Amino acid sequence: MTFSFRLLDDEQLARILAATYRLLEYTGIKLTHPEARALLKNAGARLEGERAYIPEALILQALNCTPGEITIYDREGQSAMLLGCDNVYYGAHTDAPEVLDPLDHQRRPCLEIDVCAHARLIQALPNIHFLTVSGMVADQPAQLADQAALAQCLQNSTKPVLVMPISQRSLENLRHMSVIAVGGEDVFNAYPNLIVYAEPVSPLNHPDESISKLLYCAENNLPVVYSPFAACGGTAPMNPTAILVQLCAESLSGLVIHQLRQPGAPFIFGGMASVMDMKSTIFSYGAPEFQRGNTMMAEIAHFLGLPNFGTAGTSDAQIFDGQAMLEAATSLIMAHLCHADLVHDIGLLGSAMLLIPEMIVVSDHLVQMIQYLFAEIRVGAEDTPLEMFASGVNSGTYISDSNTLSNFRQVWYPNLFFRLGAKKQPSITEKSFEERVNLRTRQLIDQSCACELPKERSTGIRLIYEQALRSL
Amino acid sequence: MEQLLTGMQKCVIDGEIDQIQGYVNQALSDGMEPSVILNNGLIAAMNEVGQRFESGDFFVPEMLIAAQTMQTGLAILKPLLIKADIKTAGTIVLGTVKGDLHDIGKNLVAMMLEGAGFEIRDLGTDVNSEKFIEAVRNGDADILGMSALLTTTMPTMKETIDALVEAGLRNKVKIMIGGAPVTEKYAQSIGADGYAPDASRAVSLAKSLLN
Ligand code: B12
Repeated sequence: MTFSFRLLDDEQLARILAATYRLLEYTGIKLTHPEARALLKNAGARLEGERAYIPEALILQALNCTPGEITIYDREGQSAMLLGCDNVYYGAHTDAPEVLDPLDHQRRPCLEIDVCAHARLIQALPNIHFLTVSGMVADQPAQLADQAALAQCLQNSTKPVLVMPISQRSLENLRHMSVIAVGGEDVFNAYPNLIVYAEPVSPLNHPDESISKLLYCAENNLPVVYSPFAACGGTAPMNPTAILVQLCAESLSGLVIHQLRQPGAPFIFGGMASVMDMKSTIFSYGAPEFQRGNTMMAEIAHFLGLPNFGTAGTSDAQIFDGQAMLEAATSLIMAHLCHADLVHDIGLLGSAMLLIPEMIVVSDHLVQMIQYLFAEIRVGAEDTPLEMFASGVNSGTYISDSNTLSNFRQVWYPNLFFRLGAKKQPSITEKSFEERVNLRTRQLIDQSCACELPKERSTGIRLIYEQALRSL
Repeated sequence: MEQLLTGMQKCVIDGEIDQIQGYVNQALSDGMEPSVILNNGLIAAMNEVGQRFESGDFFVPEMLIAAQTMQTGLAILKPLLIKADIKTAGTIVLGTVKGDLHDIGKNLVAMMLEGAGFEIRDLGTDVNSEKFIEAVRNGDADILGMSALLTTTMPTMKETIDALVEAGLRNKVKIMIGGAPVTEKYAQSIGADGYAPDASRAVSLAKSLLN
């Protein structure tokens, strides 16, 4: 039997969607983008001032033509992620406003060389499936930071990349770089290695820039995540159900526009449901409400039959400590339990301001452990034959049993946790867990090497960047 | 008299917005000076609220309802204060810079400043330097406050300051800036007068800039 876990039952899910459709029809969304307004109007939506009111029929029509599954490839054209199929894929950040330097533990701005190091680190971690570029590289012009970071990712890792483009113009270059990396337009169109992120601004507002990105993705059949981030009490009502309804309305109204532009184009639904901490005023990235909210959003995505954009491996901690690991761990467990699909933000801490590379390594380790925690259990006759107990009962131990010999390796052997006996204390045990992870992170970064691109492709990518620099 | 002021303070601290005008009107009919009501009643209460927030007793919504209560009381006093030529704490033009739609921080700062007795002109989000300059030129702003949360939009703060210098308006206002990626150092480097990392320190900063 496969293990199943739900926070919402079907009836609750249906009620949330009914409330969402009501919100879109009667409260509407703020939308000023002329093309998107025209698309909605022609399809029968009501426009009034800056608002657009979307009837349920349009949403159902959009849902009908949206693909339920999307395959994302790696740079080499191998299938890497099957979204919408009850899987979970984890992605870690390569850049952020600041990084906690693993060498001297100092907090400082994120540089281009850090992106290179993080791309290689992620490449070396088997349970981190994709890279995220948020466009924050302090030593390159701010308007081109996303392009500088993607260039590093494509040259140092083969894994797919989720990009948060600074603008629609920048997005064109980001796409172009990926096209070159995989070997041309045709290859890229058939085997995309890039996912684009764009977002509505809660409450219920679709800025022109976000819509431009969304339409560009639709036109070009580029997989796009259109997912808001809201917090109860800040940009969403102070109610754990109402925030879900608002997030659904925001993402689904984006879907309607997207599908009207290009029916069948790949779309990833999502919404981050946080809470505003009324003491510190931060939008929490570690709160249980946030983890629950994200879990319920994944359940809604499954119910709608759409691929989902999840969040985990984050924390509000400002340093690499126990809080960071505990908050990350519970969120990773929740993401696994609800099959959160495309799970982003691993390694992002300090309310989204700080990237801690060690946390990427810890998360990779935790994901592995979680896979063991919830692995399917087989209960067949072959699992409990009487002979299996015989030698143990006879000799008092199973240690030299042939069954032990052939199966003991199926047990998980962690490479970061200790299981040394009390008396064994070699020098490494004097190090704390944090110190060991730090050491491992540094080793992985040092030992890893670029997954080199053919020379002409890397030159091609560099040329795009240089051209962009010149036209600043 | 003392008792009335204590009651008024408690009313603000507890955020009993429906009752505050009753207290203010009572004080006025008892012959209390508007400036005394303002300083020893309303503002004194908000100072206490600020302290409770700092110490972790109060949460943001409690602080905001107290600030609104204070504003509601102040509405009665305002015409009297103007007549008596008693100035409010100052007028502040606020906005989130061009290209930037983050406004939660800016809104909080605005509400806290209002609670401290400042007059706020909120220009909203996505405000370009021309709009800021126009607001400074045509208004009686004492302070210009700019908020930016994106590295890509921070340069608009510098542009605005440069443009104010060019327009000969720089000396007309003090400038304070804030937002998650903004730092004290950045504020100095672009010629702003101050930086604050959060809303309560934005209030102390605004006060200190006008002293
Ligand atoms: C909420 C949020 C959003 C919301 C905004 C909703 C809204 N209505 O404001 C949404 C989801 C829409 C959003 C969108 C984006 N965001 Co955003 N967002 C955040 C987040 C998580 C919290 C910001 C917040 O509201 N904090 C709570 C308030 C109370 O705090 P605050 O704003 O810092 O304000 C306090 C102080 O700074 C100070 N202050 C603020 N202003 C002023 C002004 C003055 C004069 C003074 C004195 C003080 C002061 O006092 C305030 C109160 O204490 C931050 C992460 C973070 N930790 O800041 C990212 C963050 C700011 N966003 C970021 C990004 C990149 C984006 C997007 C570009 C994402 C994308 N790729 O599409 C878009 C941009 C949209 C746009 N054009 O503006 C980055 C910015 C990185 C950078 N340095 O450039 C951050 C840091 C997250 C990250 N790591 O990616 N975001």
